Amino acid sequence: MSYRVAVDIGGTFTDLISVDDEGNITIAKTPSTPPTFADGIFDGLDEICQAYGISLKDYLEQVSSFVGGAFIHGSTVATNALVEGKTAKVGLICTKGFRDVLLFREGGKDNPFKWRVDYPEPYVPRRLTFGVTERINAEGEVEVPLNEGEVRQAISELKEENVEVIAVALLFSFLNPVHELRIGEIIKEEWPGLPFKLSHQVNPIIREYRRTSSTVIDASLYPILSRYLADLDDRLVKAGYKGSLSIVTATGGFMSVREVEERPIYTVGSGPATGPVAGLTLTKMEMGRDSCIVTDLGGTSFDVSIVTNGNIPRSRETKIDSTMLGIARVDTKSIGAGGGSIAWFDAGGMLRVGPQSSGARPGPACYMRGGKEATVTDANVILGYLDPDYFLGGRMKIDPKLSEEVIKEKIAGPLNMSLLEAASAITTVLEHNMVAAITEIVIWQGVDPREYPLFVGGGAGGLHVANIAKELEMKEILISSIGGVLCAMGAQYSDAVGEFFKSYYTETRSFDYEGVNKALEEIEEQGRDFLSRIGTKPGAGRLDFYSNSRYSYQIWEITVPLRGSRIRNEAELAQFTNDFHDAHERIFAVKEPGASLECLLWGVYSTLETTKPKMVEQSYAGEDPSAALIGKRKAYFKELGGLVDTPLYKGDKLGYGNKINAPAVILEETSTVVISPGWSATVTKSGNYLLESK
Amino acid sequence: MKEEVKIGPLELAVLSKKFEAIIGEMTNTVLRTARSRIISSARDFSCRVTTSDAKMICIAESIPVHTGRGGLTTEALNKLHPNLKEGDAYYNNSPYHGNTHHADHTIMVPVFHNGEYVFCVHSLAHQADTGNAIPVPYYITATDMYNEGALDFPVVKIQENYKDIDDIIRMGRMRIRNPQVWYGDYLAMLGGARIGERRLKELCEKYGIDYLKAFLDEWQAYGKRRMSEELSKFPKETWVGEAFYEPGLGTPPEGIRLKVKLTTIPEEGRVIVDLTDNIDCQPCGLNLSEFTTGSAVLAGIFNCIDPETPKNEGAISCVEIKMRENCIVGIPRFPASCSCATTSIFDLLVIAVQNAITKMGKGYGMAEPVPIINAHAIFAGIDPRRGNAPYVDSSVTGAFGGAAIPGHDGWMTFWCCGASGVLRYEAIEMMEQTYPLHYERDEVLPDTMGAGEWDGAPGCIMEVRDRFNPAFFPTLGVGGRFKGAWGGEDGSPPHSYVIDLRTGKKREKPIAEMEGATYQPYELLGSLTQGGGGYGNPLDRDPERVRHRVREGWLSIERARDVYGVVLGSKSEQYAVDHEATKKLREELRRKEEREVKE
Repeated sequence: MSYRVAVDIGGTFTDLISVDDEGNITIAKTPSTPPTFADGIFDGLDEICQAYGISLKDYLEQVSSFVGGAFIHGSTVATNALVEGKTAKVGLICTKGFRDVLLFREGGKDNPFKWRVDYPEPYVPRRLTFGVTERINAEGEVEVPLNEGEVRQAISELKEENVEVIAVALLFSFLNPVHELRIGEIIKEEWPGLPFKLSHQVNPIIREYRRTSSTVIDASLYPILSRYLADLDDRLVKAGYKGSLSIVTATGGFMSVREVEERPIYTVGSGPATGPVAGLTLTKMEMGRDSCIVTDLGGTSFDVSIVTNGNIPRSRETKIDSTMLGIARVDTKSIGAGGGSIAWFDAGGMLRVGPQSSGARPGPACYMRGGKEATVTDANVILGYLDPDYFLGGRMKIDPKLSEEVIKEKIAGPLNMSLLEAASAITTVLEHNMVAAITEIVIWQGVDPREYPLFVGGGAGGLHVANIAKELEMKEILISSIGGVLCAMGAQYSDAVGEFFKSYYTETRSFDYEGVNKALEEIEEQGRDFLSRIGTKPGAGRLDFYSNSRYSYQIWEITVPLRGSRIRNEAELAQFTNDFHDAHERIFAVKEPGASLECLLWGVYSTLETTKPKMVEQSYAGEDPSAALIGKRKAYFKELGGLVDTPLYKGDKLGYGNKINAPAVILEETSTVVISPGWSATVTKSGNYLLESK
Repeated sequence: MKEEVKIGPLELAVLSKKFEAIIGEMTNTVLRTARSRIISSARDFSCRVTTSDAKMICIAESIPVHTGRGGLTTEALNKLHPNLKEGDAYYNNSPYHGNTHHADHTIMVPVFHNGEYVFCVHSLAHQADTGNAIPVPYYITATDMYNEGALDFPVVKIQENYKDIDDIIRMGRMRIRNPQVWYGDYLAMLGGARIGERRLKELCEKYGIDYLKAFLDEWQAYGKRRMSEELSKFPKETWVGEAFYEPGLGTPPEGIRLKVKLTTIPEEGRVIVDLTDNIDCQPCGLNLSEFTTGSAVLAGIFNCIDPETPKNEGAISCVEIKMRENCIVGIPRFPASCSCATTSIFDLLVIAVQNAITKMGKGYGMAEPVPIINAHAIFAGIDPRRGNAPYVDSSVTGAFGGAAIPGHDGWMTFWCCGASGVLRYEAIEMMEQTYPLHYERDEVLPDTMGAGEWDGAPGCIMEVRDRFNPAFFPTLGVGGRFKGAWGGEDGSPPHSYVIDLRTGKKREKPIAEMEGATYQPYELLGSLTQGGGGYGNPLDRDPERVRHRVREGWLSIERARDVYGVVLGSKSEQYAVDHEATKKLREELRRKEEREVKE
């Protein structure tokens, strides 16, 4: 037997999923153990070994025998370090005259009238930022040569400041890196052994703020992440693991540990990045579809992303607090909505839910930890969807009386409504908040939700999804039965993905075939190197080329895939420009056929599809779900006029093909699914739920 | 028989989200498809929805200069076109017909449901050029509309049956420089408005018009309740706020003094803002339009209250604005030019309103922020890299100007009152790639922020030139210094210069000289922007914050001592605060202040 194991380290829990050759899944959930996160991983591994009844050494040996990425690791180590400001001290060398790139950022402010906020400090303090005389122009020519004396002076001052790493980000270095490379050499001479990062290597894109920001973040993570990974690698090897460690990145794929040590920024925000991977894989397997809207609703946040034709969308505009990462990352929209969201009235008397959350402590009132606010979970208790005797699979006690009291006092009283109506009002507002979040991202990507199935993960997703889908006029919903460990599942399904790109400017009306093809050749080489480094045979793996282009004078580029690996002649160029016009029309509903394009950047995704764990296929159990019926309880359905007797089913007793009609509630280990009127559920081959509207 | 519709807190929450989503979709369409930098990068545009009877329903979180009585334009449409039809679209950039100024072009689409005209959607975007006599959308010295030269579209029909009326498009294409960019922007705005139309029709289908009307009544009542709640916190009195526009381009020799009388009626949750005691329209481009007069007053108020207050007709109705015809801040008398109605005097009026609120007591209002003043915001020339194609555009670069507010220092990238920090910055690399410009410097200028318990944002220095050919760099803005409040100091004054790169010689330039000047490629144009005003006495500022600014190079050690009374160690001591010495010095400085007050 060989195993493949995926680890996802979250803020509170570390999830592990081990899958064997036959597709059997074993899950471990252990508390995360900051700052030595590796301890939590080993706790989880012990739990899994116990379940299999084998030793850790034997288990790891069998993990090692799985070909291509057997130990896949997603973590919040980098994200946490950033959020908590526990990163290395960085010194920055930039072009003279532009010391405040990190301070000015790209301007902008969400609410024009909100002034009672502090302007955010730059990621690297100004006192650790040094401008040096040099200049490359917009055509990549040296306009002012590098003043090496100033570079040496800057390094000596940074030495005095005891920085741990130096970042170098000069204007237009992505077109001509000669000065950055020279500064790298000087750092080696002046301060041998000090790590440094050059912007044209970290993120060779136009727009100095984004490139500089990527570079300083990358530099600041380098020491902490390489220490963490070296330590983990070391401990795994000592415990008997012989394979290589694979690290999940923000692109939703994974890279080898060596690769990630070079580019630690790619692990920032990697946690949620695999959610869409899991959604896509399951939607493909269970429904044969390669487009879906992926949602994940937990206790405090609701994440949405949209997968179209098997493409997981990426965005370069993601931020951690006020700092832009500048790298492409799986595009997920997140809002403050979940079981812990608090219901309240604003000054004008409008009912609001969230974004404030009661969190895990004190949590909803029914948790009996002193929560004094009416939350979504309390509402779901009142509505009869959450079973007090089977909360979190019976692992946690809750008190429905407390939910009743708090909703009466905070919501029903002021609204002059019945308790049930008030609880229903709370969930309705929450659901509309989620609809708005989906609508926003749908709009942004020019997608019609009615053509997509809705994929649902997370512990609380199944409670609200039917109403959300109805509002969006979506017809099909796929609910994961292990939604609570979605990201670890996504890691199981992810591929090895490396992204390489180069800025090279040209316009289609006077297309520079030679220059563009040279750039494409360069990145192709990098892409192939990446594949060979993960140990594939020559020729294996897939290279997908793209270009970031725009119409003349337009500000924002869009990403258009190339049909091949080069643009060799007029016919291929015409094909490319047509593809651009079509993509522009698809996204923005307008196009300008015949107009010249400005091409800014050429890139390639280098992918090695790994052997995916198989899904266990259950045998057909017939439509009748009564074997899983464990009782009835009163649950509220507005459409049915209020509280009605609702059958309760136990998820693990349901079989493939079972059909559950509304109204019904399905209890899973870590989640609950509500089947509202207008919907019916079918259990899929692999034990997930497909809801269809009638 | 009509069913009684009840709109409660729940229905209010649900429907308002629907309208927000529609506005969001309109906004996204314009943003992502526009051609000119000032729209798609800087976001100088907005989308809004009004009822057919010209009541503002909502507006995207966009720049304050556009956040006013959006119904004014719908009123003009209704008056001029009593027989609106489905498929029509109207074009308006006329400041005499409810628009902001000529450079903001607005598309209006009436929305029909079962043959009934129910809503009006607007999408409004700033244009890089509007056919002025000079290649700049802001023309300060234009003596009147004829001299200004802008092409005026006084609510003209531009689409019928969803098709362009080519006569109108042709006029635009003939007169507006960069016609390709203009038409691209037109399509973007039209796309936004049409998306809004489609979605509103769907909303009517889904909910029925009676239900929506009931919602809108409650929505306006809700806005009114929230605004009243905020305005009831203002102490009862008539507060007078003033602001001064230094003598300069276009102004009378004595400059322009604005006066705002703000009467609070807290028991009714409303205010009356009287602007009638101000000078007449001037023979220059500085006059405000009726729309921007209103939005300046509202911006001044919204800046000082809960920022989440809705911006609908109900909320706006709590602010009664008294304006008169032929007044520089009021209703312009044709053909007075309103070329710069979104900047300059607009900023001054916002400041005057805020000053009235600031007078209510320490803790109210804010210090004075910096209006737009920058030599590089707009530029025009030719680009030899693109076959000598002419270029003219506006961009947002160079940061400055936020005023201190109780509890917080000024916002760094404030830009001006009409934009309030919303505008996005353009990357220097993008600027240089698109235009033949060379930027030499873009940095914080030390010792420029108005000192206070809370500091204003610092001014900045920026230097630029065209790389190959002579180019035109106008400027707009206001000279002078912007005031601190409640003991806070004024921010630094603006300044500009030209360096001849052949000789290295620097020539100082008064701000007023700079309009419309052409500079050679060997002339580096520098501009130093003003710092924002401080709030509260600098002697009350947390010494650690003072030290932080010194360490970061925003503040000199001397100024830390003389102005803030904070004694710091040397650089090698990391500027550690000497608390004993600071306490002593601050006591001394306070005594000196008291003596000065007595004298």
